[in-house]
Amino acid sequence: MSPAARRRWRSNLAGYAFAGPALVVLAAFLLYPIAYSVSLSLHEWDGYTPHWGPFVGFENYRALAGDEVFWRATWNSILFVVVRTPLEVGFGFLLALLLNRRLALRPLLRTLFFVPVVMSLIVVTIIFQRVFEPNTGLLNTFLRAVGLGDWAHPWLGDPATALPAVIAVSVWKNVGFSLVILLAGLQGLPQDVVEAARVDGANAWQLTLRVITPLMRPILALTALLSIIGGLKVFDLVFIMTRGGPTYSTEVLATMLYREAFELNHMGIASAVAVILVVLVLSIARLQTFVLDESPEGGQA
Amino acid sequence: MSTAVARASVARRQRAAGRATRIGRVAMWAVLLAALGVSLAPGLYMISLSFMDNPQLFAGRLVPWPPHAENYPRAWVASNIGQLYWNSIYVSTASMVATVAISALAGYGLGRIRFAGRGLVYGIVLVGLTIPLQIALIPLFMNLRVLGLLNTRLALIGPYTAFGLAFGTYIMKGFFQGLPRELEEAARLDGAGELGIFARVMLPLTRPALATVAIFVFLQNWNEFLFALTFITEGKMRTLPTGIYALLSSEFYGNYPILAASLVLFSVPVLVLYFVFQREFVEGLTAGALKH
Amino acid sequence: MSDDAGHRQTHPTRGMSRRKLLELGLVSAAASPLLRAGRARAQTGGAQPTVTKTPTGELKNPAELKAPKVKASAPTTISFWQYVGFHVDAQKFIAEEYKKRHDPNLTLEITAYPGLNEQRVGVKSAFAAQSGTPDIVAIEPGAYAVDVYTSGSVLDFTKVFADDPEYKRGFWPNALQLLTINGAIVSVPAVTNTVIVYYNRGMFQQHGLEVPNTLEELKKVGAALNAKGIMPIAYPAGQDRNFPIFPYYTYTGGIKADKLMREADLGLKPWTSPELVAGAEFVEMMAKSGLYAKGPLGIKEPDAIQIFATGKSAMFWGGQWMRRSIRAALPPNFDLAIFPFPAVVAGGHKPVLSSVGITLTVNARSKYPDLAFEMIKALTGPWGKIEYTRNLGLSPNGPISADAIAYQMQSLKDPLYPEFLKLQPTGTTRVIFTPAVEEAMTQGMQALITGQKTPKAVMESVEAASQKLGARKFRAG
Repeated sequence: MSPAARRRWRSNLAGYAFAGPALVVLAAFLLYPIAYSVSLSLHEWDGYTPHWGPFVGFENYRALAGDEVFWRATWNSILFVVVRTPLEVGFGFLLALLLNRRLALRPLLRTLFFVPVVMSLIVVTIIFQRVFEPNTGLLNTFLRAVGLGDWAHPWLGDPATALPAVIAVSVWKNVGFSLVILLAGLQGLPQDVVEAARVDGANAWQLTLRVITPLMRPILALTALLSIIGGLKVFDLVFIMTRGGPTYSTEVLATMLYREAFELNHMGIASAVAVILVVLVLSIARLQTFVLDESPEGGQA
Repeated sequence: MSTAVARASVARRQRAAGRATRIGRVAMWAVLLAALGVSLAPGLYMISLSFMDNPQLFAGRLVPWPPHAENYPRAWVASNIGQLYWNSIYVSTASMVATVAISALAGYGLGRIRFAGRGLVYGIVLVGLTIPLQIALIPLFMNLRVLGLLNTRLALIGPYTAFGLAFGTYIMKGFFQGLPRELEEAARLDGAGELGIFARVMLPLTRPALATVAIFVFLQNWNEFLFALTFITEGKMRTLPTGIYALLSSEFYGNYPILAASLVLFSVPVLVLYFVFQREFVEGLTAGALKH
Repeated sequence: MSDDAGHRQTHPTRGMSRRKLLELGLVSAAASPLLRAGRARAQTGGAQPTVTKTPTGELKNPAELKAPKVKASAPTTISFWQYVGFHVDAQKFIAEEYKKRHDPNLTLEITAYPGLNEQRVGVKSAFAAQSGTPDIVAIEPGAYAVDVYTSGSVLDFTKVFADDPEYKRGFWPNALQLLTINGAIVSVPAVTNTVIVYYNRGMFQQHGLEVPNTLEELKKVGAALNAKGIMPIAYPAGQDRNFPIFPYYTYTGGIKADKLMREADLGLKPWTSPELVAGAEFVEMMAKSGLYAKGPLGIKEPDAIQIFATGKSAMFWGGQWMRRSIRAALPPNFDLAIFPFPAVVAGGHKPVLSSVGITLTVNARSKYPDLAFEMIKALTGPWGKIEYTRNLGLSPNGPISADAIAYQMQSLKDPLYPEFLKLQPTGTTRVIFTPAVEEAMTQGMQALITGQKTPKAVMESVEAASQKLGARKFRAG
């Protein structure tokens, strides 16, 4: 073997030796279930009988295509992401800009803003149920107390406001995460460029818009990507707060998956939804990296 | 322009800038405090709730008076929190350690070694980041049953490790990728093999990233609910989230202050951990993420 | 069978001959002492009851915990998966007594899931994996029971009842009918649950209001309360899937169309039948009537309890199983009382929504089915049912004697308890068997409450869902 070939062989061996354990674990606990789900999505099964039902080909997918609940769930999932991500990243960016000064309190503030991220969802949903309750909940009570009683509303009971309310809770919970990443990004910016612009007489506005934001683009993109992926997968928050209701107004793909699998006993259809969800997430992730000209392997550090 | 006029106009601009800065600062603090209030209010309310009793809560109070500190010992005993804590710590820590170790290895391999199929392997890691976990529930349950592993802590450690691996590998790869080539070359010149380079040269430099992965994964494991619920059904083996949630239908059904106390007990370790390690956490998170 | 002591609540079966009642299986011979016992505790306020019979020494459980036919030959543990945590103590107590008195080798291990959905996921997974655990499973009547039985995952009680007919007689017949799938009784109820209207009697008296007997009277009471700025009924329609359908069940029960509803559920009659559409119209009417606290779909049980306990509403429409939480939330001088939902049509009877609580059945792959059945008999048999419901204050799964009630009241001390017992025998169902139909009903009722759909459109979509399934592969009832 030529030295080059031998080096390549050694590299491959080394590479797989290092990546091996991860591959094994991922294959067992992630790839296998995906394969299982893809296969199951081509069958019917009620989840109780020991063996799968008959093979039905793409029938489950066809059924989903004609199911208005599925399109509603897809629409809600996309809406969830399209509304939540800009808000989360936007607020996070705003707070990061505000905190990006020589503030003695900065570490403390940053920590405090992160607390909602760390709080368990059970806690969060219980608390916000108390906040949104129409008659004695904190939000409506507050609105009435400050004279905005007309704005008091059955937030989680009205299909028009249920999804926005859930999105609001999700934004609240995750802003801290974006904040932390973006703040570090801001502090990692090349200071000379920023200084130069400042000396040139740019005021705060121009500085932010014309100089900082473009420099932050890759980090903003990353934060947005993480937010989008999380948003498409969201389940616990929606399920515990509204179960996808009322009248499917907060139904997202993950809750539909759960409902089909465990309440309606349609394991085949549930698996089809799962497969579609995976494909959707992967495509959007791929699309975003493609659009922003970042390959997962290269990098613009 | 004469110097006097120039100086005057600079001074005027500076004064205007000074005013703008002051207004700006006030506005900035206002926004920050408002945001902080919104962020922390629910948590504070929960703490407040944990010291009330039901009549106080239902009267719409925001602050407990008199405070009922005995809710805490009661909650502790009611949910057998001691046992739950132990199980949660065991499972979360074990899978965290496994995740950190395996993703450090994988991150190094993916980030610094050119090998055939590297892209594909990394693609699998990315898939792990994106799939919804419910997909794995039934297939894993059936597998674990066949292997006789249900109701053991291993039943959770395995899946938790896998769930954390995708994130861990993503972060570690980015971090390793960003380390300078010179270090590696110097070590190779010294005759170190791949493993040596990894263990003695590169790994120590990734401490912040390791800390990040450790904390993030620990957090995720600590809060994990669906799988803990399905795979562990023996009371003795339960982890905290399911144990706490079980309070919702126990004799403390309807006793929200005790529930809140148990939720606080549940959240405190995580918060403490976060506060103590937050610097490393943030450093590692951003460094690992930004290096991509 | 009329009651001759003055009661504010009208007895639901007044006017029916005793024979007719026995025929309908609604009342057994033991029930008349039950009514007499109820009369003895005439006072139903917040104070302690005065017992007219002074007990000599402490009362004991009048029933006998019978010896089992089968015992464990070696130390054995059987597992039991249920979903109501606050039942655990009662179940544990009975299991331990059984172990002490009859079978020292048999231990019952109870796993209480946080909720029905979580338990069902676990049970589904266990059955799909053909596990012998759990030995005893708690299931809900309706779709859950159908699923587990038609998939061959659980055993039925045919042989058990053949061997012990007296055990079978201990259950309310309409309850057993609810649990009959393909002609076999699939599980047995541990408790009975009723949905009624709790009310703040002090507030009613304060505003000079009378307990409504008809729908019209209820509306008048509601209007009076609204005029005073008090919400009439706290109704937690957001609590779970079944709650939005309560008004519908109430109506069909009230016009005696529950049999028709069952047939529609099984695909034998259309959901667009006039009576069933009228049910939807009733739901819509109630939602628009100003009787509910605002935004019912966004209100869960704890919120509704708070609204009621703090006097913001005068009534609370909920289940008997909520009594504990409600009591825990009430201020000390609150005078709590109950009444069954008023008659929905003029001259009609008052529909009492009743159903079985959790029901117990045996895993078909259990290694110890005989022992499992014996444990279930201990939990739900004549002795067990009295202990089970004693401290929980829930209603037993069949008739019990006056002595038994006196024994229970010793530790329970809740004056409302006998009132609930009186309502038990007359309950109509609040169970749907077909999951897709239940889903369509839940969504449909939600749409009626939010005003998004008309009653006719809702029933048409329910019928569409029903037809999509075609002929049901099971018989129920």
